[in-house]
Amino acid sequence: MKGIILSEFVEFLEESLGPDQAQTIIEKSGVQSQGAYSRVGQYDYQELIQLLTQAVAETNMEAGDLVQPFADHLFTVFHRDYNVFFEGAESAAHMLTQIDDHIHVEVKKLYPDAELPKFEYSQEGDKLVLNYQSPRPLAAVAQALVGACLKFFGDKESLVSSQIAEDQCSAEFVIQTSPG
Amino acid sequence: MSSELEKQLKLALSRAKRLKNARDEAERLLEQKSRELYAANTELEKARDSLEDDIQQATYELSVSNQRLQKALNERSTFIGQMSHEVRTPLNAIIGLSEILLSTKMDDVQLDYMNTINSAASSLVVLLNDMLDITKIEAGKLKLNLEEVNSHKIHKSAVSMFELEASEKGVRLDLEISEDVPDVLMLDKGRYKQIINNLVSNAVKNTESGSVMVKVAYTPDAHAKHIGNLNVQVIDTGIGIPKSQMQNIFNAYEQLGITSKGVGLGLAICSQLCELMQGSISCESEVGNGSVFELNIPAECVAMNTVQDEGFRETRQKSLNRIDILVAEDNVTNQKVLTAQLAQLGQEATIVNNGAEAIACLRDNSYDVVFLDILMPVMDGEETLKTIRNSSSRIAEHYCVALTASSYQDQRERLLNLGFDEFLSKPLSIADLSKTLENIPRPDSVNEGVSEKSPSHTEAALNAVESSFDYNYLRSQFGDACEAIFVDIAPTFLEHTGGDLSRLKAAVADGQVDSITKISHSMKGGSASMGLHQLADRLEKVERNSDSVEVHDWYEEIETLWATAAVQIENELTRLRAASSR
Repeated sequence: MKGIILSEFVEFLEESLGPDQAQTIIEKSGVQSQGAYSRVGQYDYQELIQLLTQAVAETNMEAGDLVQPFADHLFTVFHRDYNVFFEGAESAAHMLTQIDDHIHVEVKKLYPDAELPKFEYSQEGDKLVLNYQSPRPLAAVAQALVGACLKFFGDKESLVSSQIAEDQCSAEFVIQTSPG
Repeated sequence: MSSELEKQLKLALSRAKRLKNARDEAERLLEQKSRELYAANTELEKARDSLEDDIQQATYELSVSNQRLQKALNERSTFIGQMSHEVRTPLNAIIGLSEILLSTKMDDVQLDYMNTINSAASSLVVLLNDMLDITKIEAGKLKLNLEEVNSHKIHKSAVSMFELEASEKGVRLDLEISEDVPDVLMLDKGRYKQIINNLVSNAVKNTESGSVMVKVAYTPDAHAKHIGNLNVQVIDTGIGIPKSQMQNIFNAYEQLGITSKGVGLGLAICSQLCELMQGSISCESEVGNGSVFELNIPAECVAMNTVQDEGFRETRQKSLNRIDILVAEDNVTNQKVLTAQLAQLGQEATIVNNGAEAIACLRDNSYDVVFLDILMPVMDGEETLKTIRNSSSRIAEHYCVALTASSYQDQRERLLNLGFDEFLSKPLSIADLSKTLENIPRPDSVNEGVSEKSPSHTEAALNAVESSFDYNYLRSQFGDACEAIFVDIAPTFLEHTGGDLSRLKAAVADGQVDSITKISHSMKGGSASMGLHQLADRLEKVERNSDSVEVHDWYEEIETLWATAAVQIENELTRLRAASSR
């Protein structure tokens, strides 16, 4: 997993729970890197799950209540640091359909070692069906990022259904492209 | 409190350690990325270098093979040239001897055979000439020689050549020249005529009944009135051309393969000549319904419809004051012609044989104008001009006129840039000469005193006994004085041209290209001054293509033309001398 996800997760923990609690979560999670993440480094995705699990345990919060604000935070960082991928994107649906064909192609050029999930889509009437597939069980994070994307573009479109596989490695998200 | 501080310190240390580790990791990755980039860059540089090497190698190989091909092409042209010369000699024997045999007693079968031999050999000569032309055009050796051409005359003479053949077949042959066609156009006379002859000849040859119509039109350019498009259509009602052959009729190599009633290489030459003239040629045809060949050539209009008598043109000679004139000219005939022309204008000149003599004269005397021939022995015209311009201001300020027998277009501009004040191209017309003299800047340019020479009509007397010499040109230059001038210059001309001809013969035999150029140049000037235009044309051809293998053939033509001209001139001299003694 690309370091940016993990370094931003630690950043998010420090900002939302305070440096103290963030440090506790890192230490208790027992992650191998001890929370020292460089955003261009490559790390085991398990560390994200370990940190997330520890954060849930430490705060008594629902996992979803942690993941969604983290996804919102991450999406803002994406927009700040990778603005080029947002050029010409007219809506959330438009942005999401570009992930596989455009954004990930360019990401691969920048970081040849990046392991990227597949994000196929099909348009069915006014609904956009997104198919998420990854070797890593991170469908919940993907769903939260889809939500963050919709929010970023002003919630003009909405996520009308999401089905996540039991192993968390694949999911189907349906987006209503025209409000109604 | 201290435990709280301790806790804070521990947290700070943990965070610092975490950040340091992250930084170390980032630096390690950066270092690694840099190395990767460096390696990739090195690879790219290597690839670029090897690519450059490849390109260089390929370029070199291409240039070598190009040179080899060019050499082969040149060798081929030379070979074809030499071969055609070799072939021409036995062909001339076949044609000449078969013609002699044709006039002897033969039975009908023998006559038929002999006719076939003669016409077959004649068509071989045509093919040989065409092949030479093609080779020359392809080798880029053919240069156009633009000159003022009487547009009516050139078309009339081209069409009239085929009138007999057409009337024998019962085919009507018409020429229609639109009123818009200017009288005088700038064209390469010989090559243009070659195109028209070819088209008309083909049309007549391929038409068994009906008509052949030649239409000539001219459209001036919308932006520049002095140029325009010359359009010629040759329309026949003949056999037409099958669609399958249409694409290839202008292609020399395709044309060779067609054994049926082909048209030889003529159309291929027409097409290439058109291209050289920056024009185009096209054809529309249908089997059984005739053909239309259309020619479009850009041509400069020199004179609009001001039909002039080809004979004596009355020149409006203004009275001129006595002008001090120095002429440097090596050719004796030209010296005499110029002296006579100046005498017509009421002027006398100091004549010298070369530039060095001219400089010597200028040291002691001042002149209103200095005429300098360009090609002269000892010191040529250009060298003389340089010496004059670099001398003391009294000499340097002389008004200098370049005289040249060269009709190359760039010559005029080049000479004026060199520092000449005016340029005159030989043969000189008396009108141009008069105009030049009028334009000489002089302190007292009051024109008075010298009376205009009024032409006395002695033409009738001149024609009383039939003259064998063509006076048209001399009359256009000297009017009634032509006869007197002829008597004056003809003996010198005969003597010098005879000598020049033997020297030219020797130079041709030895292949001395420089001498051929010089001698033919000098002879050309003299011939043109006498109005022997055909001879002058051939000599110019030799002068301009002195390295051509065809020089031998041209020399033979020159010899023949000279033999005829010399006899005519001698007869005319005898006639005039007899008349004057009467």
